[in-house]
Amino acid sequence: MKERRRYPRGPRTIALAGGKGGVGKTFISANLAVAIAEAGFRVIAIDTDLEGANLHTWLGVRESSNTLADFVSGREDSLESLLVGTDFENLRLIPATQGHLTHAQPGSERRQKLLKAVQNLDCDLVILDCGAGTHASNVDYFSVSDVAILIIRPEPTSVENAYNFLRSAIFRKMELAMLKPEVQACVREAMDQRNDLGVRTPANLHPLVRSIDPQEARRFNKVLRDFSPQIIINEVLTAEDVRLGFSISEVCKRFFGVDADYLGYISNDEKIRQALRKGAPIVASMPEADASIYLNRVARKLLKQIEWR
Amino acid sequence: MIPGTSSHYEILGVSPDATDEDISRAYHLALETYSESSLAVYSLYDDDELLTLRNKIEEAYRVLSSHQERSTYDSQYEGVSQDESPLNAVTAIEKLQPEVARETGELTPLGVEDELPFNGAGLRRARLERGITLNRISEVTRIGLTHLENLEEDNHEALPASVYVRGFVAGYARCIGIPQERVITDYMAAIRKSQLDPIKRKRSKQ
Repeated sequence: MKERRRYPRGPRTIALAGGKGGVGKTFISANLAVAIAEAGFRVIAIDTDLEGANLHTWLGVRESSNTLADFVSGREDSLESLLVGTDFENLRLIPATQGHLTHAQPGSERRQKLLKAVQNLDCDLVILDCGAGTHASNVDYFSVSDVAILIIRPEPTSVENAYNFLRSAIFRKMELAMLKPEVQACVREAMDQRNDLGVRTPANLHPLVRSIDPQEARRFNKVLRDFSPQIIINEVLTAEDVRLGFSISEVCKRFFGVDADYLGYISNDEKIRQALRKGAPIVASMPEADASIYLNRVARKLLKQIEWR
Repeated sequence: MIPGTSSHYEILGVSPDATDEDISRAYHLALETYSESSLAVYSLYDDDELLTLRNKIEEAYRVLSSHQERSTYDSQYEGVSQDESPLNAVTAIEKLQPEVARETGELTPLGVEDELPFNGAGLRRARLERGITLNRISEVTRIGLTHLENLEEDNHEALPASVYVRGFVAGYARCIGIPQERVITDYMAAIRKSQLDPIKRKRSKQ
């Protein structure tokens, strides 16, 4: 029996990134996928982290012989054939394999193909778990998704990498949105964080764009206005850690000119490790745990937003 | 209100019809966000920039938390059009630059009227009169020192495309507190003139 398709335009996409490894992207991706699937939405979770793939482990799925690496390398042209089931109704997975050094990140053409194939998947929601680092593929998945979530841990290294990642995503969005080659070149030059043109933020880049073409400058402002990444603070221990999300949201507005919404926080819960050892996502195996309550709260907030978009 | 600067409301990130509670909440969030030990600003702002921001936040709160001062401020603020920068983002650089001019204790233009035209030598004269080093300008504007040197030496061939040069000149002018628009007009005219100069053109081709 085929279920009613909620979004005739294709599935909505949620990308989770953070710029840094070990901040909890995959843990949160897995649990949000389960929580949303349990709410009745047909979800496909995709592990795009070809170098450190372990979304399957968080979901309690064994390594699969067919993975996203096959699509990326061109051995496989359909994403459907890579889908594997999970223990959860409504939730399927496209895994990646761990430890194949030859499986490099996809080049630009393959990346576009992947994003197009994602749009044709038969489901309501696709969750893209992005890898660490500011590789073009991570930045691209993040920039083009309907919902882009930055996962941050309350520590300087994570904050630094998250800002770095956000900056790359904003400039990449600009590069894609600008039409004039001169303006695109100007954005590309500014993308280098160590540029000596005096450009640190989109606000510095705007006057440059305006002096080349005022119409492009208006488009620039629109792109910035329409981009609203979301923030999750993970492994929160203190009230100060909780408030960090509000502060980061404030800084995103002031420094980058971007409205970043504070989606929520997840507590540092010992039970998370217990759940992982059991091979079952915490929202399903220990729904009464603190972390599960926060994860479910984030999932509900997300769903509310997506339905209204 | 000076055009191009942010209103007290923008500094605190509240709308002009914010309630007392909104203002107080925004103020406390801003204080925490821009404190020296704040994690949220890590890798984005340096100590000087944070201090400047905090001073602006304190000043904005001082005015907006007093009903009398706020209504006086509102009457001045009314009818002032918002500037066109992206989302009125208050970038540290834009906010800091006039401070550099103020560091020298001298904001009054020293015979700027007579300094025309603002070519490289004119820029250098204006800068030296204000006791500001090129290094300091580079630090604040993040424009490379070599670019700034080429600006002052009128070494036009070594400068990047003119859109960048406009930005450099604007940043330079803001930083030392001289009228930006006029400086840009003068400097760009000087570049065009030198490109027309047959001797210089020949030299640059070699």
